[in-house]
Amino acid sequence: MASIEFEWSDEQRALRELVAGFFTRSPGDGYDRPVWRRLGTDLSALGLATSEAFGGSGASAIELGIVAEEMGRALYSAPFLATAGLAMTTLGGCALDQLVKELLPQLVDGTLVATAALSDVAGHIDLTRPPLAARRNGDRWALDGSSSFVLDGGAADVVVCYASARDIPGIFVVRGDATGLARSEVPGLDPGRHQAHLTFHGAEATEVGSGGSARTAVEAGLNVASALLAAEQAGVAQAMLATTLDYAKTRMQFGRPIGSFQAVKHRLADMYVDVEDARSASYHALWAIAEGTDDPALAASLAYTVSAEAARRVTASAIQVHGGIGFTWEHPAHRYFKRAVSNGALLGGKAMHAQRLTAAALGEHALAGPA
Amino acid sequence: MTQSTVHPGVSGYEEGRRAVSAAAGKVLAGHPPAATPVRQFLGACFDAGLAWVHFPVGRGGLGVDAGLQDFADGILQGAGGVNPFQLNPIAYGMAGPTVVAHATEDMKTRLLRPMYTCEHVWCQLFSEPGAGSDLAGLATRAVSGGADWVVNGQKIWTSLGHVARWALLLARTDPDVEKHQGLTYFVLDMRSPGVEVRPLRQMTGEAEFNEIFLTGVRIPDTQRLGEVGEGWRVAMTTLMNERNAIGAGSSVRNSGLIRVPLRLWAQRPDLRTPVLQDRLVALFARADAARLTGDRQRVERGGGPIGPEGSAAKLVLSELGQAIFDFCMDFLGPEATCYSGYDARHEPEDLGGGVKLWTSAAGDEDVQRMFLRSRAYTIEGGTSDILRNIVGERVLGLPGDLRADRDKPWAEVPRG
Repeated sequence: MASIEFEWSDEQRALRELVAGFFTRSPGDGYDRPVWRRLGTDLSALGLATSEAFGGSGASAIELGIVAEEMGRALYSAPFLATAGLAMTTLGGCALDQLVKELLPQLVDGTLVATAALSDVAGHIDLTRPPLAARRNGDRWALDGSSSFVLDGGAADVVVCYASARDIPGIFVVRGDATGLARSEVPGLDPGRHQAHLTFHGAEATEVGSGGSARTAVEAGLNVASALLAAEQAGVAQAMLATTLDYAKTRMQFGRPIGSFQAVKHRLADMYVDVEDARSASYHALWAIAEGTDDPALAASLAYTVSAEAARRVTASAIQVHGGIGFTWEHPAHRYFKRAVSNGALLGGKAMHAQRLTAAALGEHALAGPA
Repeated sequence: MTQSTVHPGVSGYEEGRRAVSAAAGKVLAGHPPAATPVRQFLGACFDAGLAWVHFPVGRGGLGVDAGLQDFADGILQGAGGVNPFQLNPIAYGMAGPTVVAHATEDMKTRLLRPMYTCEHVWCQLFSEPGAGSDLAGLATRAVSGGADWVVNGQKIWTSLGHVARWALLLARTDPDVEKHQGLTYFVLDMRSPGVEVRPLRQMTGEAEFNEIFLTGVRIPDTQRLGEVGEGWRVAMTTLMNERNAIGAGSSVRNSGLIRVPLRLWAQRPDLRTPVLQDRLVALFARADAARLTGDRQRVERGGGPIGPEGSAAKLVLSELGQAIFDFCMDFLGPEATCYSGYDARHEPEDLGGGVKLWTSAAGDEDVQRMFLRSRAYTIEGGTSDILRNIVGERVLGLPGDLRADRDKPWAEVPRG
């Protein structure tokens, strides 16, 4: 049954409470394999949008968004965007394939970690130009080329690759340990966010989708991951607003709480406005994907853009209001700031999402050519 | 019109919805908007309880959830009915809710129906030259003289003051107590002797507002709303409704002020550049996010009244509006230096029987005029500076600033 946009069900509220508790108490992060398994099995958090036929709970992107938002709030690190956002959504669009039928249940229960290689060596994503080339190799396929800034590309057991075979776009599955695949981790501005450069030299691959439907599946994955990223940004921003608010109410200077000064109070009011917009835009994208309340591409790129700006401003303001302590390694503000900034450059970056937004907002009146 | 986004779980919501639907159907059948004089149509709406649906039966309402007003308006205006907010904004948005909450039964009978039918246009006498953001510091004095009060003072920024028959008036009845404690609220017949209205010319060249001089004006005590000294509390009813009216965004994409630059962009391919395109798309994103926040907060309120988060909405939309017109001027380039005329006078459209579209301002085509007008967005109805205080203190719970006038009798507070 269709739900009213922005209205959470009791089940969704309970899910939020469950995962929030898990992220704050979790002994390790989601790169710890036993913990990742628990996310899949104990919390059933990975297969929320996956069909029950594959062991998922058959809910929707809205539920995945709740998990992402709480991850952001707790600054939790896990290969969630890559696995549940990019890879599982894309594979879900190829669900008739035999290999996909085998993989999805293992992704749902946390046995495997997956990602998708969509970006070129510069990290750009252009759905009309797959970054990799596929060629026939007997009854299998071989992939050549490079894809950089691949989210969790180092940890992934399964890499969902976007490659063209004689100008036809296709989706290919490459195992993380396949011969012909070289992976190198990129040290991150955000130490909790892992990316890798992937080089394919005739890497052994299995085709799971081809043609227009492949592009549609890849775009769906990008939309879901962008919406989840936006929800995570909303969580990041909310956490820093709450922390900064507490500090402004208790930190005394000149004999009174600093939050009583208008210079500080007004900054906090602007942080609130940003948080509210990040929440609205990211929830809207989740509902657009799950319930069709809007064009998913427009809604996802709107959410990406709005929440990226909001999270960067809010986390930067958090450092500013905290003053010197906010610049120290010990205080969490810098970690939230780094996550916000790094998040705002993932999945193609702001420029690509601005282009998608331009096309949607201005239509035929958009200027021709790359912006 | 906005679609209803009210929480369906509110008790009695479905019953209320059916009652509104039935009443609206009856009004439209008996008084088809196209064939009915405006005032008569509005009278029928009032009598059917569709004026303010949450008001009591007999007072223009049906006693149903306030969130159903959107639903009622959607039916009536969808069938060609007028939008009363555009005809008598102060009456519909502020005077009605204040009168129904605080006036005597007799005054409700005298005032509510004529204000809804636009027989009586209303204005608001709150701001003074010496009391803008610090409204509670106002100096207009009302002195009791038996059955009447005698009022002296000056009010400013009075929209529709030159045509209003009635005014909402806030005056000081006791200067020797703390400023909020010494205020009393009245409704004033603008035809009373001693009321002088002078137009106030603004930077656009037009005179949307007036100054009102009150000299020995007599107001019967029966026109007092609330107790003596309770004026501030009564005024809060009015002000919350004002901020909501200004801050209420539309839930239809691109129907707010963002429509102006989008239309300009579509019409003028010769002026497009990549840099300006990026700015326009960023404005589109801000506008759409603000729209979605309005939608979300409506759902979260579940049909309940807007709280202080309405101040955040007004803050956002007013600053966005300015950024939108800054963009429009930059887009126009050298053409931005032109002006359609500082002596132009805007005549409101007459819908018949003296009912006029008072809120119709400069057309969307007159971008330079809208640009100048936008400087007032962040001042009128609560300055952005004050609104940030409200968000900080009432939404986020931050402590108040130090106040030099705290606990002092009004008469001892420095002014100037």
